[in-house]
Amino acid sequence: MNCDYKNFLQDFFDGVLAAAEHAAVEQHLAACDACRQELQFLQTLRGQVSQLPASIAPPRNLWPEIAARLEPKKSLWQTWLTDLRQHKNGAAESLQDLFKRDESKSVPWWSWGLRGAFALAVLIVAVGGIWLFVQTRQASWPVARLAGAPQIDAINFADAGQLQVGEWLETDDSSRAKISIGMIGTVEIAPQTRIRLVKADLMDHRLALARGKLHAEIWAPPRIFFVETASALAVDLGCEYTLEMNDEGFGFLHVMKGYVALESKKGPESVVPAGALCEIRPNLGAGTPYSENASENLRTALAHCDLASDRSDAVSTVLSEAREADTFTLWHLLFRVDPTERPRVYDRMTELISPPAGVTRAGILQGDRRMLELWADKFGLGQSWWRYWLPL
Amino acid sequence: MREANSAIGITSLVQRAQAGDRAAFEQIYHENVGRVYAICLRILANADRAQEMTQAVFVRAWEMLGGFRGDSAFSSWLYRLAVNVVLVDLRAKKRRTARVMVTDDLSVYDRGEATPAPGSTIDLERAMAQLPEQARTVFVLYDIEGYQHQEIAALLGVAEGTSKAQLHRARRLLREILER
Repeated sequence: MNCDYKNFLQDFFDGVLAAAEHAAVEQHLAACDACRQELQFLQTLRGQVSQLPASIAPPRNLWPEIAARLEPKKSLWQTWLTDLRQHKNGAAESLQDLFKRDESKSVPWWSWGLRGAFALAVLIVAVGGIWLFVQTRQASWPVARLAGAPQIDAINFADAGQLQVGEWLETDDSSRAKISIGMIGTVEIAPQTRIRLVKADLMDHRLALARGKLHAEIWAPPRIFFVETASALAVDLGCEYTLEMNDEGFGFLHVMKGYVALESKKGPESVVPAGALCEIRPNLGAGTPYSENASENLRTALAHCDLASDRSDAVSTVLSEAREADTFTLWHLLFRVDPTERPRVYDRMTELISPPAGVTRAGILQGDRRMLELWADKFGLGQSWWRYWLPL
Repeated sequence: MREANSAIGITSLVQRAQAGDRAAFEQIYHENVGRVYAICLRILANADRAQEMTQAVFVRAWEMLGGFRGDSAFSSWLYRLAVNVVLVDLRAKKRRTARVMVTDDLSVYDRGEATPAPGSTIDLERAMAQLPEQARTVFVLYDIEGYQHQEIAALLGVAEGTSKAQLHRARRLLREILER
């Protein structure tokens, strides 16, 4: 089956596509026999799986062999005592091994030197270990319980806890919590969320969102606060935003203030301004961002464009539906569509907002970075000061 | 009411087994062996190894019973343990042999039926047994046992995307095999 949608059909079947993508695949199904047949097979397969017996009797009774291998149960005290004896014996043996040879021989001078060096190395490692331990202890952020019983590394905390680097904060369906991000902001964690503190360095404040939803308010310079997800990295450019991810790596970014950049190895970067949304997909990374007031037709067509670059009909819909406020969407679309579609996107952009002096058609179509930035400054992707922070 | 009685029954059996009562543990074995064997057989696609692993699961369960605190249903705990034991063994075997295992005995799925009807569950079991090991494991865990990709990825030590790709591959291959 050679259809652009084949990679999304199983996600459609599993019900893990975002609404716009779901609608796009549904629309596609009406026109594609191969996809309809594939979907029918998946439905039949699910029916057969549900008919599989939960149990299968083994061909012989396995109990006698299992019973022969079962150790008698020990009490906790007995287990502890056995462990202690083994540990004590083991430790004694290793110490004896270390010094045994010396008892039967005279000790050469360099051997004492070697032992001294060894002792010094142990001391250095121990001091280093203590220093590292203290540093790690400091690398933590306070967490306040807002509702329910959030947990840090599977342990409930009272009204306030401390999230260490490497630890997970998890909320169930009735819990909420708020993390203080060092001195630079706060992140509120919604119910059903799992998040880990990755780094708490001065210039790199980093969380990893495995699933769920967070609301971040950051008042630091750009590129100091990051949220890793399975499909993209959200880079704070001084802002307030909501980020939501599911277990499948699909997600959604909604920016309320400032800007957020979404970076991914799987696709081009997106810069999402205030009042805009961006979908995140496991195979593609960040989608093309769009205004929260964009029409439903534009959103659906945009999902088509993100899923398959050669969708001429979808590009036409996006261009006809785009308003002035959607110019930043077209700016992102320029280098996501098939190169043959690029001039059409450029022409529509010029109808909506005329390019400033120094920006030419040829330059934009060739991807001249300076011209792209000049134009972006004009239609609300902010002043280019923040983009100098980006490794474009 | 019957379910409640059954829950009380299994709780009491587990408590007795935790205290070292082998007769209680034998009863737990008889009540769960079919389900544990099904998990082992479907992942391993080899009846002899599935029997070995079923034994290993119950021996491990006996050793770890003290750690079961009743936070989840005992059956869920046992079946998760079964999946863990099988996957640990698969990883160890992979390290030892560094080759993909393919089933050699599809008759294990006959279960005494004369000629399986086309489209029956026997066909599906046979088709699953022909899948490559990782694709089969992911298919069994996701489509049959109801695990999420995140859990499967953690169990297999792979990325979530890999788990998903293997599931898609398994379903595509099953279609080819079943429509052959």
